[in-house]
Formats: sequence, C-alpha cells, structure tokens
Amino acid sequence: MMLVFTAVFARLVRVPSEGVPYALFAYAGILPWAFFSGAVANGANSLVSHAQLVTKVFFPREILPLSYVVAAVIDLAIGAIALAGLLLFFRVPVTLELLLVVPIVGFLAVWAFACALVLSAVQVRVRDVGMALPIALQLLMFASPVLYPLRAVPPGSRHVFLLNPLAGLIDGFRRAVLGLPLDTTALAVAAVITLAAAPFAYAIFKYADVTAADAI
Amino acid sequence: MSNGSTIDIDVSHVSKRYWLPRSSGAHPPGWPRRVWSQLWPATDPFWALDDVTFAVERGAALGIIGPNGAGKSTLLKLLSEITSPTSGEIRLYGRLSALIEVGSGFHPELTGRQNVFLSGSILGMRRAEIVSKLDQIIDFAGIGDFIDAPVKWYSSGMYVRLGFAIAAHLDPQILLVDEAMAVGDEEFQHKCYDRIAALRDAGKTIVFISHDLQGVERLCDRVILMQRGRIAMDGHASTVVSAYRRSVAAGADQPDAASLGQAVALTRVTCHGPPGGGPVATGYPLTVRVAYQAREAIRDVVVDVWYCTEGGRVVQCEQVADVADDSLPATPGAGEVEFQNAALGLQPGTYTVIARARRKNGAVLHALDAAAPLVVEAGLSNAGQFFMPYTRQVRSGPLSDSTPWPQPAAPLVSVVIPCFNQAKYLTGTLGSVLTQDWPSMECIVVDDGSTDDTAAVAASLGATRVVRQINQGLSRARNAGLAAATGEYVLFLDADDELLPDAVRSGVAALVKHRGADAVGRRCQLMDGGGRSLQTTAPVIASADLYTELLGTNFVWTPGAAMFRRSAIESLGGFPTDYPAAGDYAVLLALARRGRLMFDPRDVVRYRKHANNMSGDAMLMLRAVLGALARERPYMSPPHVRALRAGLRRWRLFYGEQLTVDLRREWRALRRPALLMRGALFLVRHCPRQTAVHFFRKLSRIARNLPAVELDPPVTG
Repeated sequence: MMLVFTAVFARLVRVPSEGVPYALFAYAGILPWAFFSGAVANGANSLVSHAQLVTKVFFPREILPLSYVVAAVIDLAIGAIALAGLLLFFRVPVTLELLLVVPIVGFLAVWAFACALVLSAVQVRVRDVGMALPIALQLLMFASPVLYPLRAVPPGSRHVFLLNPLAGLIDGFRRAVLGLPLDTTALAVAAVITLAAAPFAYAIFKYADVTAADAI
Repeated sequence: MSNGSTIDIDVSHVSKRYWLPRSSGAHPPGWPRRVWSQLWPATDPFWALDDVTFAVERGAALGIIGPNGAGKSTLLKLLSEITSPTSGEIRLYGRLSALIEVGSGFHPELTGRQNVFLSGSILGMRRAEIVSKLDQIIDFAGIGDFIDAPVKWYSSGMYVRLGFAIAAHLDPQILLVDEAMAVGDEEFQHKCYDRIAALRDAGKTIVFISHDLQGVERLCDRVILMQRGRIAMDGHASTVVSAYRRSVAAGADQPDAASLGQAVALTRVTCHGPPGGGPVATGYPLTVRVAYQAREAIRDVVVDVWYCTEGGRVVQCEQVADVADDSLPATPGAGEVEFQNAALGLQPGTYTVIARARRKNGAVLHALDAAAPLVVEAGLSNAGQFFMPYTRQVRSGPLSDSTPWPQPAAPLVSVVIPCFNQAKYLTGTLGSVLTQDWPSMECIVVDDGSTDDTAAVAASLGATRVVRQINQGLSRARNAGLAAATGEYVLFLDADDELLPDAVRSGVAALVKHRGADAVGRRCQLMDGGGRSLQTTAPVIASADLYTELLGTNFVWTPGAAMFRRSAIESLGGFPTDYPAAGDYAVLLALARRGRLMFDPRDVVRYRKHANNMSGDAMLMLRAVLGALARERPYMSPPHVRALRAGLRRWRLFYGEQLTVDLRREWRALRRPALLMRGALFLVRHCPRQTAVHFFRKLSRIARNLPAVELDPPVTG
C-alpha cells in the first residue's frame, strides 16, 4: 500500500512531503489513520454484533465500543514497531518532540471513541449505517492530511479543514514522529473539538442505550 | 411489607410499551404516500406490561408464571436493567445477577476454563473471585476433561451445565432466573434446583420465572400469575399454581369460543357409572361422554377431558380423543366422544370434569369449564390419595426364598464363615456367633476343602449348616455360603475372627433404620494369635463421601466388620472371584459407588493377627487390591481418580514395605529362589518407588551401619 502511494503521490502527482522520504511520510500518516478507522468501524458495529449479549445481560454497554478502541491501540503499538524500523532506516534523528505522540494518540482515541459511541447507538436503530460507514471512512481519509501535508491545504479553506479534528491530530502525529516543527494552532483546535464533543457523544449513547435492548 | 422486613425489589406501577408495525396489508394509494409509509411504517402501541406493582422481601423466593406473551420475560428484562420501563419505577436493593440465558457471553473459540473467566466477569464477578471459585464451578458443571476444550465442541447440555455452574456461583443478593434449566439431564436439573434452594435458604432473594410449575411450587413461597401484561393473581405458591393449572385446563386464557364462528362447540359433558346403572364409585368403571356440535367438517380437532378437584387442582389430565382418527362423523352436525375408564382411581369426593375441543396445534376452539360435577362414592377403597387397580394372591405352606412375606418379627441374619484349615480357631469364632444377643440367626460354615477336621468341628459346635466344597478360594467359599443363606441380612465372618456380642443387633438396627443403605461397615479390634487384645488404631474417615474414602483405603478392615442386605450382595453377583483376596473390598467399593454403603464407628469384631494371615502374603494382597481398584476405573469422576491415586500410593507403599521384608527373609534363607525371583520382579514392576526407597535406605544403612526398621501392622485380612 505504502509503495503504491509512494509511486502515485510522490512520483506522479508530486505531493510535497516536508523534506522526508515520501514512504516514511505516508506511513507516519497511515498509521494513526488506520488506528482511527479501525476503531470507528469496529466500534460502530459493536452493539449490533453483540446483540446476543446486549439483550441478555446487563453491563455498561460502552464497554463494547471501548474494547475496540483499546484493541486498535494495541494494533497501533504493533504498527509503531515498523515505524521505528523505518525511522532507523531513513536515519531520522530522534527528538524530544517524539514524546508528544502519547497525548496525540490519547486525543485520537477519545475522538475515535466518541465517534464509535454515536455511530453504534445510531446503528442499533438504523442498520444502514453499517453499510455506509466504509464509504464514509474512505471519503474522510482523503479529507484528512493522511497522504498529503496539512500545509498543502490552501490557506483560504484551512479553517474549514481544521474543523475535522483528524486534520490536526494526524498531522501532529506525523510531525512529532518525524521531528518537524509542530502546527500548534491545528493541534489546539483538534484538542478543543475533541474534548467538547466527547461528553455529547457519551450523553447521546447513554440516551439511546436505555432502550437499545428493545430496538436491537 | 406489613411485617416490617426489608424490601429487596420494589416495582411500582411499571408499564412497558413496545411499538408493533401495523399490519394493514393494503398499500396506501399514490407513490408519495407509499414511500412515506415505507420510511415511517405505521405502528400500534403494545403494552407488554401494564401497571404492574409488587414488592419482594429480602430472602423471599418469588415465582412468576403465566402463558407465553404474558409479559414475564419483559418483566425480567426490566428487573435486570437490560431495558427500562416506559413508565413507573423499579428499585433494587442489593447486587443483582440475572440468569436470562445461561452461557451468556461464551466465546466459541475459547476453552471452557477461559470462558468461565469471560462469562464470569461479564456477569459481574471479580477476577480474584473467579479464581477462588474456579474449582467449585468446574466441579459443579461436571463436564470432566472437556473443561479445557473449546466450547464450540460442547454438546448443548455441556454448554448449559457450564453456563449454569458459573451463574450458580455468583454471589448476588438478588438472583433472577428465567427458564435457565430447560436443558440438561434430570440429574443436573436436580442439582440446579438444589443450588437455587440453597441460595434461597442462605437468605438470597430469588425471582424465578418458569413454565415448570412443579419447580416453581417447590422453590417459591409466593407466586405471581401474569396474564396479558397484568398481574392476574398474587399469592401463596400452591394456590396460584393450581389456579393457573385450572385455567390452562379450561383454556380460560384463550378467547372464549363458545360464540359463533368456531368449527366445533362442546354442548354437554356427562359422567356415568358402570353399565347397568351402578353408582359412580372408586374402583368401578366410569364413562364420560362429551357431546359436541360441529358447524363444519372436522379435520384436526382433538377433544380432551380433565379431572379436577373442587379446589381446582388437576388430578388427572388429558384423556385425549382425536376425533378424526376415531373416524367419528366428520360432517357437520352433532356427535359424541366417549371416554371409558375401567376403574375409577379417584377417592370419594366431589370433582369437576372439564372438556376442551382444540386443534391439533393446540389452539382451543371451545372449552366447557366446570362442565360436569363428578360425585364419587365410596367403592373399593376410601383411604389414601387414589385407588390403584390391583390383583392379589395368597400363598401358604412352606415359604420359598422368593417369598419375603410374612416376615418374622426379628429379621433372620445369616452368618457365613468360610474356613480353610482353621478348625483350631472355630471354637472361638462359632462361640462368638452363637452367643449374639439376636433371636433369629443361622450360622453357615463353608468348609473350603480343608484337610483338617473343620466340617466335624463346625457341626459339633452347633453350626446351622455346613457346606463342603473342594478348595476354590475365599470368594467362591463366601458365595457358596451366600447361596445357602436365607436371612435378610448376611455377615461374612472370617474363621479366625470373633464377633463382639452386639455385632448382629447393631448391624440390623443400622440397616433397618437406613433403608437407603445396603451395607454397614464398622470397626474392629486387633488381637494376637492367642486371643489377647492388641493396641488398635481406628481408621480415620475424613469425609462423608465413603466412596472416595474407600478408594483411598479400605477402612472396613475385615468383612466381619460389615453387614450386608442379602438381596444387595446377590444383585452384585456375590463376591468377584478373580481377586479372592480382595473380594470384600471390591464389593464394598461397588456398594459405596452407588451410595449404598454407610459407616457406623463402633467396634464389632476382633480381628486376629497371626503368622498365617492371608494379608501376610503381600504379593497376593497387592495384586488383589490393584485388581479390585481396577474394576472401579470406568466409574470414576476426577475427584475419585485423585482419591484413587492417593489410595494406590498408600497400598503400594504398605505392601511394598511388607514384600521387601519378606523378600529379605527369603534372601537370607535362599530356600525358594523361584519365589524370590518372582517377588523381586513384582516389586520392581508394581512398587518402583518402594524399591528405590528401599535401595537407598539399604545403602545408607550400610553406610551408617544401622539395624533394619520395624513395620506397621497389616490392615487387611
């Protein structure tokens, strides 16, 4: 996948990659993206796929989407090993900013959890969400700076772009890993949106949860 | 509640509404409305629960019964917080566990053991709690080695067993159970009921939702009958259950079909005595006629009648007549079904006969509730619950073995004494038998081909019977005595042992008192060859599970200490003859395995230790004991296997030591090299550990120049 992206975007389209080899650049973006999309896709499905459990046993239902977010964190950790290999291979100097990866992944996890909560609650009633979700995620990937840098976005539409917390978080993750200067505005906007959205998502989930067992 | 005890469950004015799609069938005209109706289908409210109010006190067991769709499961889901009520309030005080479906949250790929952890934590147990209860859970499930197999390989029974075992070991204050025991065999269902009853007795609050009315009646003090989302009845268990049974029998819950439109209506139920005009009386023929009116051709209609007491309890249910198969008129018009009973089993009193016409699939067409009073007069019987038709036969003259009746006031006890060249001990042995303080005894001496004057001595000392045979070994000798015995109880006394005076009386008393036991084991005292008492260390019995104990060690040292029901030992086929030296052990094991052995810790026999004890021959004894234990192998569960391993270790240690000493003696004498060789090989094969221990002990003794050690006394005769 990384090779394909490298061939298409670096060689054919000539996407700017902030002065790092494009393969490394792309991988450092794909890794947090895969984390997010995996957590959301599975988490949104979690209530419906465990209908047996939901209708038979009482337990805090948010455990189901949460467990997929945790699973995605583990996947991310495994993927990070390959990233470390790439960093060594391309001799990228390790900076102190690498530590920022931890809070950034934290925000990413909160955002993924929030999305999973809302989507899973909706999917209990509208099963079509399960059908539409992969396509929506595909679109979201291209709307987020996964394969291109955030700086490549025209300044005029940048503020619209930043409303997607993934923009700040994925770009921030990559910059922290590659030791590039951070885009603090983008990160701050993403953090605020994430923290603001999380309680709402939880409230929506809890509201729907009350009758989830009847509708599922 | 009025008596001021704590309330654990408080349900107040709870209703639950569901929306059901309206099944109008016709599509609305015009495509916009059609699309609209597809997107937002019309629905009708359905009240699964309608203003339900009740409270359950701490420690009470509440049963909830009712037909399908009455709202029982909805109620349970509300109680367990799986969903919430549309209106009203539910308050729970205390940790709650809901057993709505056993095996909830099992993952098919994980093993049973792993699933215990998974399901346990989903149901609310902490990890440390699961770890501490793991053995109990596995033991309760009783699925053996499957515990480490993935649950996808389980049979449905094993799945449920494991699921229930987990749930049964939760420690809730409130336990909700919904038809969880529907699967599982009879024995396991009993186990489940016992477990729930134990929880109830431990002061837990239990809500039990079931269609198993007997189970509900057994477990619950109070029962709520639900009908169409409402509480139809709330009261004492047996009252509510019998009312429900009656309503089912009458089909009262079904829409009354006496009105027009049904294919069949029942018009009359009448009861008639014997042909020729006798009264309806217990034990005499009874005929019940059900008249019906068919409005159209009948194809799959069944008529059944139920007999109820005045209180509404169904005493005899469902005599069924399949109208079509009986080739009664299948055309519209009137007809009659006649049920003929050869002998009326009901005792005198007033009863009601209810008749129903229903379709074969169960839908009730019409029911005649309390249709016909049935007044039963005193007939062939008027005591007891009901009358059973019977025949009787009187036998007189000399009674054969197979005629147990009439019995003497004191049951006859047979003492069987197999004897092989032990005439010198018979005086003491027979004397101890003949001086028993029991009036009804016989004493049978089996002379197992002795070369001394055993038979003559026995006859002169007053044995009831002397059976002579060529030497065939101990088991066959005992079996020969058993064949000659006529007593209800048998005691097998070895020729060199002596009974204590109340051995027979106490044995009979124990077996008369405990009908469930077929044998009672007691203790013995040791004496030396001259009859002087020796220091005796009584065997310790640690647990109530005699089978496990017996696998570990034979605590009934000599068969004389046990007393058997003759019928029981005969049904086992007597003593097994393949290992005569441990025949008594094998019989005790077989009885204990069936739970038919009891133990009475009193001394009843004096056991003689002398040079000619058979138990002195370690090789013979160990081989016999191993053989007896091997017979038990196929019947054992894992805890038994553990006990058996411990037992084998002990037996091997014990006889291994003894054999070592014997062999050492032989080695010094060196008179029988073949025997020595055989013994050594046997020792290496069966007691490798003892051989090694002995070898090292010998080495260290040589090194330190110490004398040989003394051994414990032998324990099996």
